[in-house]
Amino acid sequence: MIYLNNITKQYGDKVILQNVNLEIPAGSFTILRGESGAGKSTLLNLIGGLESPTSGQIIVDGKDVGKLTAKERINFYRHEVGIIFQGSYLQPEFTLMENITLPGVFAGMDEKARVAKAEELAKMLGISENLNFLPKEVSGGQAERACIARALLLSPKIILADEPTSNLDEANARTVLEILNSVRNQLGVTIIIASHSRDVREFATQAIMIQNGIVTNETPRTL
Amino acid sequence: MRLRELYRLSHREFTAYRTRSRTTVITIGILFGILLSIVIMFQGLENVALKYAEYTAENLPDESTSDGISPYEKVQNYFQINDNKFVRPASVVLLIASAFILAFTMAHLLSTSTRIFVLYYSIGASKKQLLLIYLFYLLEICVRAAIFAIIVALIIAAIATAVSWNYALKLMAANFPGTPDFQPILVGVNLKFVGIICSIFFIAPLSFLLCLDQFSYKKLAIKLKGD
Repeated sequence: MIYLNNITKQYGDKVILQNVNLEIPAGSFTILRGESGAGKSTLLNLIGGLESPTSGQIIVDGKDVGKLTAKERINFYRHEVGIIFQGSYLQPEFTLMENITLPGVFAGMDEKARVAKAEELAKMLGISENLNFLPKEVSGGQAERACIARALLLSPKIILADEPTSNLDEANARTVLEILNSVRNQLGVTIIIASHSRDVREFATQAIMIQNGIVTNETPRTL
Repeated sequence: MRLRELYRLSHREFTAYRTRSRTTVITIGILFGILLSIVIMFQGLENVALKYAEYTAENLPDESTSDGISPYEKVQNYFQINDNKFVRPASVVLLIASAFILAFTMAHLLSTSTRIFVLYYSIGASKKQLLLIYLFYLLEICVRAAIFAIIVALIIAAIATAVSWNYALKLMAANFPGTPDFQPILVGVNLKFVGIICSIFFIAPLSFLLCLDQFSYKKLAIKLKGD
């Protein structure tokens, strides 16, 4: 369960989010909606602990994300949260396999174990044939799936995805959303996704609208 | 994280910023190469002079010890004095200059590496692991710079030997009359040469310390905001 209690985020005088109070249930598919610059990425960064709120509390799985010690933070990123950045950010010099297994390298996972897990995830996501290719040698959809696989390698409880379909055509975008929903159903992972895509409404169990720094819950179908 | 994995990650930085990394290697390599060339030529000249001095002492006793000091000792004293006057201060200056060049390279690299930092932190890299990756990147630059410096030094020494061959022979003949010609090869290796090579590897931690604050979570938050 994720709780946001009276969250305010501002950069200097500019208020991005004000008095945000939210509950995101475990296992939900939550979409964040709003115009460009509304604060969707900021909200994701706050939940993911990449930024600290100006005031307020963010509780993820009973832990205050803003007050984690260095060791707790490392654990948080390794086992609680998996992040998919906008633009399918893969290391261009590494193969898809190397990119997917990177979290395992940092976590000290055994090489055989992380390769086996990566292969299992690649099979689930339909990119087994592409693991030895570089990111520039695969399609945008395949690269995005590699990002999903990387985010899932250490079995996180939450996936934060920032516009995972923005660079994809309609067909690939839908496939990625179907995969994320499938991951939620199969593995019980909470999905929080910032997206402009209309297709995402179909999978959402919760929708959040961000406008002028105010966050409101919406029914997915009305967006 | 294994050494092989650490190298793979740090080498990624080298290839991602190939032009800048190579420029830094070449710059530091040339700076130290020039210093090394002076050291090896100096030592080479000393070795040649000592051969002449030895011959003089053994075969021309009337020419030597006119002031109670053997030609061998005179040669050693001469080179020792000039060595302390020049080589040591030059090494320190070059070391500091190279540290700043490396720190500048590092600072530029880090300022353009926000996404990498964010990515690595977000997939569970610890600050220590991140520091090691970039320290290894600096060490790789130092290794390459050291190899390049040695090559540069040897080339300069070879050219100097060829160009000054006849002049060196005349110089030795004038200072050690009655001796046969010995080959004036201006290449000699001594402990200073090894010391200068080793000092190249002190640049990495030195310049690293100048950029240490770039790895803090606070700085990361500022970078994220900037992006």
